[in-house]
Amino acid sequence: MEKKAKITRFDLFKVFLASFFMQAVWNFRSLISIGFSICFLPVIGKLCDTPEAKRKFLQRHLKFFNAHPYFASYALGVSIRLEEMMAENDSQIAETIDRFKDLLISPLGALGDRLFWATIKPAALLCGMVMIFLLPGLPLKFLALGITFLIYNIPHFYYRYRGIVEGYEHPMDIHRFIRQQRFERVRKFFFYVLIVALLIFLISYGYSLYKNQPILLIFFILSFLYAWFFSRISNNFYLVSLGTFLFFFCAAILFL
Amino acid sequence: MDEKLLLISVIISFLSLDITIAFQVLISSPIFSCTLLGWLLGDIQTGMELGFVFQLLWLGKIPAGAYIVPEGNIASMMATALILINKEIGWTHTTLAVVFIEVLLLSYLGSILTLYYRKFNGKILDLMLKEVEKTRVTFIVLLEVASMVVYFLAVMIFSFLALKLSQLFLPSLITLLGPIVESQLVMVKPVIIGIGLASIYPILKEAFSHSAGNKMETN
Repeated sequence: MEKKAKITRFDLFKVFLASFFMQAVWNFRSLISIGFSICFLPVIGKLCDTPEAKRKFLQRHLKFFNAHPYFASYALGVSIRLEEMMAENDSQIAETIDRFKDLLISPLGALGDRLFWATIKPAALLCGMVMIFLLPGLPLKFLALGITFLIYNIPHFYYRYRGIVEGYEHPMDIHRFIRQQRFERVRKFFFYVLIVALLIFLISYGYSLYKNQPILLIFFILSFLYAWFFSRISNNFYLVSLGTFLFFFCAAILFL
Repeated sequence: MDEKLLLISVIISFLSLDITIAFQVLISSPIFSCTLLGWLLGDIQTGMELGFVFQLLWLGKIPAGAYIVPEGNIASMMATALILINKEIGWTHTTLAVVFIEVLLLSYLGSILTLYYRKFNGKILDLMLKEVEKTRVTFIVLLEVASMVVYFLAVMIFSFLALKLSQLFLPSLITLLGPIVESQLVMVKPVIIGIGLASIYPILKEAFSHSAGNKMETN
Protein backbone atom coordinates (compact mmCIF):
# COMPACT_ATOMS: atom_id res chain seq x y z
CA MET A 1 0.00 0.00 0.00
CA GLU A 2 1.59 3.31 -1.12
CA LYS A 3 0.82 6.54 0.70
CA LYS A 4 1.58 10.07 -0.41
CA ALA A 5 4.31 12.15 1.19
CA LYS A 6 2.72 14.13 3.98
CA ILE A 7 5.37 16.32 5.56
CA THR A 8 5.04 20.00 4.67
CA ARG A 9 7.42 22.94 5.04
CA PHE A 10 5.28 24.13 7.94
CA ASP A 11 5.77 20.75 9.65
CA LEU A 12 9.51 21.16 9.23
CA PHE A 13 9.23 24.65 10.70
CA LYS A 14 7.49 23.19 13.76
CA VAL A 15 10.34 20.69 14.08
CA PHE A 16 12.76 23.63 13.82
CA LEU A 17 11.01 25.31 16.77
CA ALA A 18 11.12 22.10 18.80
CA SER A 19 14.85 21.79 18.03
CA PHE A 20 15.54 24.74 20.36
CA PHE A 21 15.13 22.20 23.18
CA MET A 22 17.52 19.70 21.60
CA GLN A 23 19.76 19.48 24.67
CA ALA A 24 17.01 19.40 27.25
CA VAL A 25 17.22 16.20 29.33
CA TRP A 26 20.86 15.62 28.31
CA ASN A 27 22.00 12.44 30.08
CA PHE A 28 25.10 10.27 30.18
CA ARG A 29 23.41 7.15 28.74
CA SER A 30 21.74 8.42 25.61
CA LEU A 31 23.22 11.96 25.49
CA ILE A 32 20.89 14.22 23.44
CA SER A 33 18.52 11.46 22.27
CA ILE A 34 15.56 12.61 24.41
CA GLY A 35 15.60 16.16 23.05
CA PHE A 36 16.19 14.74 19.58
CA SER A 37 13.18 12.39 19.86
CA ILE A 38 10.93 15.15 21.16
CA CYS A 39 11.72 17.22 18.05
CA PHE A 40 9.75 14.62 16.07
CA LEU A 41 6.55 15.12 18.04
CA PRO A 42 5.13 17.78 15.65
CA VAL A 43 5.31 15.21 12.82
CA ILE A 44 4.92 11.86 14.58
CA GLY A 45 1.18 11.82 13.94
CA LYS A 46 1.83 12.06 10.21
CA LEU A 47 4.56 9.44 10.18
CA CYS A 48 2.93 6.79 12.32
CA ASP A 49 -0.63 5.60 11.93
CA THR A 50 -0.86 3.21 14.84
CA PRO A 51 0.18 3.35 18.50
CA GLU A 52 2.47 0.39 17.81
CA ALA A 53 4.25 2.33 15.04
CA LYS A 54 4.60 5.33 17.37
CA ARG A 55 6.08 3.12 20.08
CA LYS A 56 8.66 1.64 17.71
CA PHE A 57 9.41 5.09 16.30
CA LEU A 58 10.17 6.59 19.71
CA GLN A 59 12.14 3.55 20.86
CA ARG A 60 14.26 3.84 17.73
CA HIS A 61 15.11 7.48 18.36
CA LEU A 62 15.54 7.27 22.13
CA LYS A 63 18.65 5.16 21.55
CA PHE A 64 22.06 6.78 21.99
CA PHE A 65 22.59 9.82 19.81
CA ASN A 66 24.87 12.82 19.99
CA ALA A 67 25.78 15.74 17.76
CA HIS A 68 26.33 19.45 18.01
CA PRO A 69 22.92 20.88 19.06
CA TYR A 70 22.60 23.11 15.98
CA PHE A 71 23.95 20.63 13.44
CA ALA A 72 21.82 17.78 14.80
CA SER A 73 19.14 19.37 12.61
CA TYR A 74 20.72 17.61 9.60
CA ALA A 75 20.13 14.27 11.33
CA LEU A 76 16.59 15.40 12.13
CA GLY A 77 15.81 16.16 8.48
CA VAL A 78 17.34 12.88 7.29
CA SER A 79 15.45 10.88 9.91
CA ILE A 80 12.13 12.54 9.09
CA ARG A 81 12.53 11.75 5.39
CA LEU A 82 13.62 8.16 6.01
CA GLU A 83 10.76 7.63 8.44
CA GLU A 84 8.42 9.09 5.85
CA MET A 85 9.80 6.75 3.18
CA MET A 86 9.26 3.85 5.55
CA ALA A 87 5.67 4.96 6.16
CA GLU A 88 5.03 5.43 2.41
CA ASN A 89 6.37 2.10 1.24
CA ASP A 90 5.72 0.05 4.36
CA SER A 91 9.31 -1.12 3.88
CA GLN A 92 11.51 -2.08 6.78
CA ILE A 93 14.28 0.51 6.71
CA ALA A 94 14.50 1.01 10.46
CA GLU A 95 18.04 -0.38 10.48
CA THR A 96 19.04 2.08 7.77
CA ILE A 97 17.83 4.96 9.94
CA ASP A 98 19.89 3.69 12.88
CA ARG A 99 22.95 3.27 10.68
CA PHE A 100 22.55 6.72 9.11
CA LYS A 101 22.26 8.37 12.51
CA ASP A 102 25.33 6.52 13.81
CA LEU A 103 27.30 7.67 10.79
CA LEU A 104 26.25 11.28 11.31
CA ILE A 105 27.33 11.52 14.97
CA SER A 106 31.02 12.28 14.37
CA PRO A 107 30.82 14.65 11.38
CA LEU A 108 27.95 16.69 12.83
CA GLY A 109 29.69 16.96 16.21
CA ALA A 110 33.04 17.95 14.70
CA LEU A 111 31.47 20.43 12.27
CA GLY A 112 29.38 22.22 14.88
CA ASP A 113 32.09 22.30 17.52
CA ARG A 114 34.60 23.69 15.07
CA LEU A 115 32.29 26.19 13.42
CA PHE A 116 30.22 27.43 16.34
CA TRP A 117 31.99 26.75 19.64
CA ALA A 118 35.52 27.40 18.34
CA THR A 119 34.89 30.17 15.79
CA ILE A 120 31.52 31.94 15.58
CA LYS A 121 30.84 32.13 19.33
CA PRO A 122 34.24 33.62 20.30
CA ALA A 123 34.17 35.89 17.23
CA ALA A 124 30.71 37.24 18.07
CA LEU A 125 31.47 37.73 21.76
CA LEU A 126 34.84 39.36 21.13
CA CYS A 127 33.16 41.72 18.65
CA GLY A 128 30.63 42.54 21.36
CA MET A 129 33.38 43.16 23.91
CA VAL A 130 35.29 45.43 21.55
CA MET A 131 32.19 47.43 20.68
CA ILE A 132 31.16 47.75 24.34
CA PHE A 133 34.67 48.91 25.20
CA LEU A 134 35.03 51.42 22.38
CA LEU A 135 31.56 52.85 21.89
CA PRO A 136 30.59 55.78 24.11
CA GLY A 137 27.26 56.03 25.93
CA LEU A 138 24.73 53.41 26.92
CA PRO A 139 22.49 53.56 23.82
CA LEU A 140 25.42 52.69 21.56
CA LYS A 141 26.56 49.97 23.92
CA PHE A 142 23.06 48.47 23.80
CA LEU A 143 23.22 48.63 20.03
CA ALA A 144 26.52 46.74 20.29
CA LEU A 145 24.80 44.01 22.29
CA GLY A 146 22.05 43.80 19.65
CA ILE A 147 24.64 43.47 16.88
CA THR A 148 26.48 40.78 18.86
CA PHE A 149 23.23 38.87 19.26
CA LEU A 150 22.64 39.03 15.51
CA ILE A 151 26.22 38.14 14.53
CA TYR A 152 25.83 34.90 16.46
CA ASN A 153 22.21 34.04 15.91
CA ILE A 154 21.84 34.68 12.18
CA PRO A 155 24.15 31.74 11.32
CA HIS A 156 22.74 29.82 14.30
CA PHE A 157 19.10 30.03 13.12
CA TYR A 158 20.13 29.59 9.50
CA TYR A 159 21.98 26.30 10.04
CA ARG A 160 19.37 24.97 12.41
CA TYR A 161 16.64 25.45 9.82
CA ARG A 162 18.76 24.75 6.72
CA GLY A 163 19.93 21.48 8.27
CA ILE A 164 16.38 20.18 8.67
CA VAL A 165 15.42 21.16 5.11
CA GLU A 166 18.60 19.83 3.46
CA GLY A 167 18.49 16.65 5.51
CA TYR A 168 14.87 16.14 4.52
CA GLU A 169 15.43 16.90 0.81
CA HIS A 170 18.66 14.94 0.39
CA PRO A 171 18.66 12.09 2.91
CA MET A 172 20.67 9.64 0.82
CA ASP A 173 23.46 12.02 -0.20
CA ILE A 174 23.56 14.09 2.97
CA HIS A 175 27.33 13.58 3.13
CA ARG A 176 27.64 16.11 0.27
CA PHE A 177 25.95 18.74 2.41
CA ILE A 178 27.92 18.25 5.60
CA ARG A 179 31.41 18.24 4.16
CA GLN A 180 33.89 20.34 6.08
CA GLN A 181 34.78 22.27 2.89
CA ARG A 182 31.19 23.46 2.47
CA PHE A 183 31.44 25.46 5.70
CA GLU A 184 35.01 26.57 5.19
CA ARG A 185 34.15 29.97 3.74
CA VAL A 186 31.87 30.81 6.66
CA ARG A 187 34.43 29.50 9.13
CA LYS A 188 37.20 31.54 7.51
CA PHE A 189 35.05 34.66 7.52
CA PHE A 190 34.37 34.34 11.25
CA PHE A 191 37.96 33.35 11.86
CA TYR A 192 39.11 36.66 10.35
CA VAL A 193 36.44 38.49 12.37
CA LEU A 194 37.81 36.76 15.49
CA ILE A 195 41.41 37.74 14.73
CA VAL A 196 40.54 41.36 13.86
CA ALA A 197 38.34 41.69 16.97
CA LEU A 198 41.08 40.22 19.14
CA LEU A 199 43.69 42.59 17.74
CA ILE A 200 41.46 45.63 18.17
CA PHE A 201 40.66 44.49 21.69
CA LEU A 202 44.32 44.04 22.61
CA ILE A 203 45.37 47.37 21.14
CA SER A 204 42.48 49.42 22.52
CA TYR A 205 42.44 47.83 25.97
CA GLY A 206 46.24 47.91 26.19
CA TYR A 207 46.33 51.54 25.13
CA SER A 208 43.68 52.55 27.67
CA LEU A 209 45.68 50.88 30.43
CA TYR A 210 48.87 52.54 29.23
CA LYS A 211 47.20 55.93 29.16
CA ASN A 212 45.74 55.65 32.67
CA GLN A 213 48.32 53.65 34.61
CA PRO A 214 51.19 52.11 32.60
CA ILE A 215 52.00 49.62 35.37
CA LEU A 216 48.58 48.03 34.83
CA LEU A 217 49.51 47.31 31.22
CA ILE A 218 52.50 45.36 32.53
CA PHE A 219 50.23 43.46 34.93
CA PHE A 220 47.83 42.71 32.07
CA ILE A 221 50.53 41.39 29.72
CA LEU A 222 52.35 39.43 32.42
CA SER A 223 49.16 37.87 33.83
CA PHE A 224 48.25 36.70 30.33
CA LEU A 225 51.72 35.19 29.76
CA TYR A 226 51.80 33.65 33.24
CA ALA A 227 48.33 32.10 32.89
CA TRP A 228 49.14 30.87 29.39
CA PHE A 229 52.40 29.27 30.56
CA PHE A 230 50.68 27.83 33.66
CA SER A 231 47.92 26.32 31.48
CA ARG A 232 50.61 24.56 29.41
CA ILE A 233 51.71 22.80 32.62
CA SER A 234 48.30 22.19 34.19
CA ASN A 235 44.95 21.59 32.51
CA ASN A 236 43.15 22.57 35.70
CA PHE A 237 41.35 25.83 34.93
CA TYR A 238 40.65 26.62 38.59
CA LEU A 239 44.25 26.09 39.62
CA VAL A 240 45.57 28.21 36.75
CA SER A 241 43.13 31.06 37.40
CA LEU A 242 43.53 31.10 41.17
CA GLY A 243 47.30 30.55 41.00
CA THR A 244 47.75 33.42 38.54
CA PHE A 245 45.53 35.72 40.53
CA LEU A 246 47.30 35.06 43.84
CA PHE A 247 50.72 35.41 42.22
CA PHE A 248 49.84 38.85 40.86
CA PHE A 249 48.19 39.84 44.10
CA CYS A 250 51.52 39.18 45.82
CA ALA A 251 53.29 41.10 43.04
CA ALA A 252 50.87 44.01 43.55
CA ILE A 253 51.62 44.10 47.27
CA LEU A 254 55.32 44.32 46.43
CA PHE A 255 55.20 46.78 43.53
CA LEU A 256 52.04 48.87 43.81
CA MET B 1 16.72 41.35 51.50
CA ASP B 2 15.68 37.69 51.18
CA GLU B 3 12.96 38.62 48.68
CA LYS B 4 15.50 40.51 46.61
CA LEU B 5 17.94 37.58 46.65
CA LEU B 6 15.13 35.21 45.71
CA LEU B 7 14.13 37.41 42.79
CA ILE B 8 17.75 37.57 41.59
CA SER B 9 17.99 33.78 41.92
CA VAL B 10 14.86 33.34 39.79
CA ILE B 11 16.32 35.59 37.08
CA ILE B 12 19.68 33.79 37.18
CA SER B 13 17.88 30.46 36.98
CA PHE B 14 15.76 31.59 34.05
CA LEU B 15 18.76 32.92 32.12
CA SER B 16 20.76 29.78 32.85
CA LEU B 17 18.23 27.70 30.90
CA ASP B 18 19.83 29.24 27.81
CA ILE B 19 23.21 27.60 28.57
CA THR B 20 22.23 24.15 27.27
CA ILE B 21 18.59 23.36 28.03
CA ALA B 22 16.64 25.76 25.86
CA PHE B 23 17.26 28.17 22.98
CA GLN B 24 21.05 28.52 23.32
CA VAL B 25 20.94 32.01 21.81
CA LEU B 26 23.79 33.42 23.93
CA ILE B 27 21.72 35.48 26.39
CA SER B 28 23.28 33.53 29.27
CA SER B 29 26.73 34.83 28.29
CA PRO B 30 28.10 37.37 30.78
CA ILE B 31 28.01 40.38 28.43
CA PHE B 32 24.25 39.87 28.05
CA SER B 33 23.23 38.37 31.38
CA CYS B 34 25.33 40.66 33.59
CA THR B 35 24.03 43.70 31.71
CA LEU B 36 20.48 42.49 32.26
CA LEU B 37 21.13 41.96 35.97
CA GLY B 38 22.74 45.38 36.15
CA TRP B 39 19.63 46.88 34.64
CA LEU B 40 17.37 45.05 37.10
CA LEU B 41 19.55 46.07 40.05
CA GLY B 42 19.70 49.69 38.95
CA ASP B 43 23.23 49.97 37.55
CA ILE B 44 23.48 48.95 33.90
CA GLN B 45 26.92 50.51 33.43
CA THR B 46 28.52 48.37 36.17
CA GLY B 47 26.61 45.27 35.02
CA MET B 48 27.92 45.71 31.49
CA GLU B 49 31.44 46.36 32.73
CA LEU B 50 31.38 43.18 34.84
CA GLY B 51 30.07 41.19 31.89
CA PHE B 52 33.01 42.54 29.91
CA VAL B 53 35.49 41.52 32.63
CA PHE B 54 34.11 37.98 33.13
CA GLN B 55 33.28 37.13 29.52
CA LEU B 56 36.72 36.01 28.38
CA LEU B 57 37.24 33.68 31.35
CA TRP B 58 34.76 31.08 30.12
CA LEU B 59 35.09 31.49 26.39
CA GLY B 60 37.79 28.86 26.06
CA LYS B 61 35.69 26.17 27.71
CA ILE B 62 34.11 24.23 24.87
CA PRO B 63 31.20 21.94 25.86
CA ALA B 64 32.11 19.29 23.27
CA GLY B 65 30.63 15.83 23.80
CA ALA B 66 30.11 14.85 27.42
CA TYR B 67 32.76 17.25 28.73
CA ILE B 68 31.41 19.29 31.65
CA VAL B 69 32.73 22.83 31.65
CA PRO B 70 32.87 25.23 34.63
CA GLU B 71 29.48 26.90 34.99
CA GLY B 72 30.97 30.30 34.38
CA ASN B 73 27.82 31.97 33.14
CA ILE B 74 25.89 31.21 36.34
CA ALA B 75 28.88 32.19 38.48
CA SER B 76 29.31 35.48 36.58
CA MET B 77 25.65 36.36 37.11
CA MET B 78 25.96 35.67 40.84
CA ALA B 79 29.16 37.74 40.98
CA THR B 80 27.44 40.67 39.30
CA ALA B 81 24.54 40.46 41.73
CA LEU B 82 26.90 40.35 44.73
CA ILE B 83 28.97 43.29 43.53
CA LEU B 84 25.90 45.40 42.83
CA ILE B 85 24.25 44.54 46.14
CA ASN B 86 27.42 45.48 48.01
CA LYS B 87 28.40 48.53 46.01
CA GLU B 88 27.33 50.88 48.82
CA ILE B 89 30.23 49.57 50.93
CA GLY B 90 32.75 51.00 48.47
CA TRP B 91 36.21 49.40 48.02
CA THR B 92 35.32 48.39 44.47
CA HIS B 93 38.62 46.67 43.63
CA THR B 94 38.57 44.66 46.86
CA THR B 95 34.97 43.61 46.22
CA LEU B 96 35.83 42.46 42.69
CA ALA B 97 38.89 40.53 43.94
CA VAL B 98 36.98 38.69 46.67
CA VAL B 99 34.07 37.99 44.34
CA PHE B 100 36.46 36.73 41.63
CA ILE B 101 37.79 34.06 44.00
CA GLU B 102 34.20 33.20 44.86
CA VAL B 103 33.34 33.02 41.15
CA LEU B 104 35.90 30.26 40.66
CA LEU B 105 34.40 28.27 43.52
CA LEU B 106 30.84 28.86 42.31
CA SER B 107 31.66 27.86 38.75
CA TYR B 108 33.11 24.62 40.11
CA LEU B 109 30.05 23.96 42.29
CA GLY B 110 27.86 24.79 39.29
CA SER B 111 29.64 22.15 37.22
CA ILE B 112 28.97 19.59 39.99
CA LEU B 113 25.30 20.60 39.90
CA THR B 114 25.27 20.01 36.14
CA LEU B 115 26.90 16.63 36.63
CA TYR B 116 24.21 15.50 39.09
CA TYR B 117 21.46 16.97 36.93
CA ARG B 118 22.68 14.93 33.99
CA LYS B 119 22.79 11.82 36.17
CA PHE B 120 19.25 12.59 37.30
CA ASN B 121 18.21 12.78 33.64
CA GLY B 122 19.19 9.13 33.35
CA LYS B 123 16.19 8.40 35.62
CA ILE B 124 14.03 10.57 33.37
CA LEU B 125 15.19 8.43 30.43
CA ASP B 126 14.10 5.27 32.27
CA LEU B 127 10.68 6.78 33.00
CA MET B 128 10.39 7.92 29.41
CA LEU B 129 11.16 4.45 28.06
CA LYS B 130 8.40 3.07 30.31
CA GLU B 131 5.95 5.65 28.99
CA VAL B 132 6.96 4.86 25.41
CA GLU B 133 6.07 1.21 26.08
CA LYS B 134 2.56 2.46 26.86
CA THR B 135 2.71 4.94 23.90
CA ARG B 136 1.82 7.85 26.15
CA VAL B 137 3.30 10.69 24.13
CA THR B 138 1.87 13.45 26.36
CA PHE B 139 3.72 11.99 29.36
CA ILE B 140 6.98 12.14 27.41
CA VAL B 141 6.55 15.89 26.94
CA LEU B 142 5.59 16.25 30.60
CA LEU B 143 8.74 14.40 31.63
CA GLU B 144 10.85 16.74 29.51
CA VAL B 145 9.17 19.75 31.10
CA ALA B 146 9.63 18.19 34.55
CA SER B 147 13.34 17.77 33.91
CA MET B 148 13.61 21.42 32.88
CA VAL B 149 11.67 22.53 35.98
CA VAL B 150 14.03 20.47 38.16
CA TYR B 151 17.03 22.23 36.58
CA PHE B 152 15.38 25.61 37.03
CA LEU B 153 14.67 24.91 40.71
CA ALA B 154 18.10 23.42 41.33
CA VAL B 155 19.87 26.50 39.90
CA MET B 156 17.48 28.78 41.76
CA ILE B 157 18.16 27.09 45.12
CA PHE B 158 21.89 26.98 44.39
CA SER B 159 21.93 30.68 43.50
CA PHE B 160 19.84 31.68 46.48
CA LEU B 161 22.00 29.72 48.95
CA ALA B 162 25.22 31.02 47.39
CA LEU B 163 24.01 34.62 47.48
CA LYS B 164 22.65 34.26 51.01
CA LEU B 165 25.84 32.67 52.35
CA SER B 166 27.97 35.24 50.55
CA GLN B 167 26.01 38.06 52.11
CA LEU B 168 26.85 36.65 55.54
CA PHE B 169 30.60 37.15 55.13
CA LEU B 170 31.19 39.37 52.11
CA PRO B 171 30.30 42.80 53.58
CA SER B 172 32.46 42.30 56.66
CA LEU B 173 35.32 40.81 54.62
CA ILE B 174 35.30 43.74 52.20
CA THR B 175 35.18 46.23 55.07
CA LEU B 176 38.09 44.43 56.71
CA LEU B 177 40.30 44.03 53.63
CA GLY B 178 39.35 47.22 51.78
CA PRO B 179 41.40 49.72 53.80
CA ILE B 180 44.46 47.42 53.68
CA VAL B 181 44.65 46.27 50.06
CA GLU B 182 42.37 48.49 47.96
CA SER B 183 45.20 50.42 46.33
CA GLN B 184 47.12 47.22 45.48
CA LEU B 185 44.02 45.56 44.05
CA VAL B 186 43.73 48.18 41.34
CA MET B 187 45.35 45.43 39.21
CA VAL B 188 42.35 43.09 39.59
CA LYS B 189 40.54 43.89 36.32
CA PRO B 190 43.58 43.73 34.01
CA VAL B 191 44.67 40.48 35.67
CA ILE B 192 41.22 38.84 35.31
CA ILE B 193 41.13 39.89 31.64
CA GLY B 194 44.70 38.62 31.21
CA ILE B 195 43.70 35.23 32.67
CA GLY B 196 40.65 35.20 30.38
CA LEU B 197 42.80 35.94 27.37
CA ALA B 198 45.07 33.02 28.23
CA SER B 199 42.07 30.72 28.66
CA ILE B 200 40.91 31.35 25.07
CA TYR B 201 44.24 30.08 23.75
CA PRO B 202 42.83 26.56 22.99
CA ILE B 203 40.11 27.98 20.75
CA LEU B 204 42.54 30.29 19.00
CA LYS B 205 44.79 27.31 18.38
CA GLU B 206 41.79 25.38 17.11
CA ALA B 207 40.69 28.23 14.85
CA PHE B 208 44.22 28.47 13.41
CA SER B 209 44.29 24.74 12.74
CA HIS B 210 42.95 24.26 9.21
CA SER B 211 43.55 20.54 8.90
CA ALA B 212 40.24 18.70 8.79
CA GLY B 213 39.61 15.82 11.13
CA ASN B 214 41.80 17.08 13.94
CA LYS B 215 40.32 16.22 17.30
CA MET B 216 39.27 19.28 19.18
CA GLU B 217 40.76 20.23 22.53
CA THR B 218 38.03 20.54 25.08
CA ASN B 219 39.92 21.98 27.98
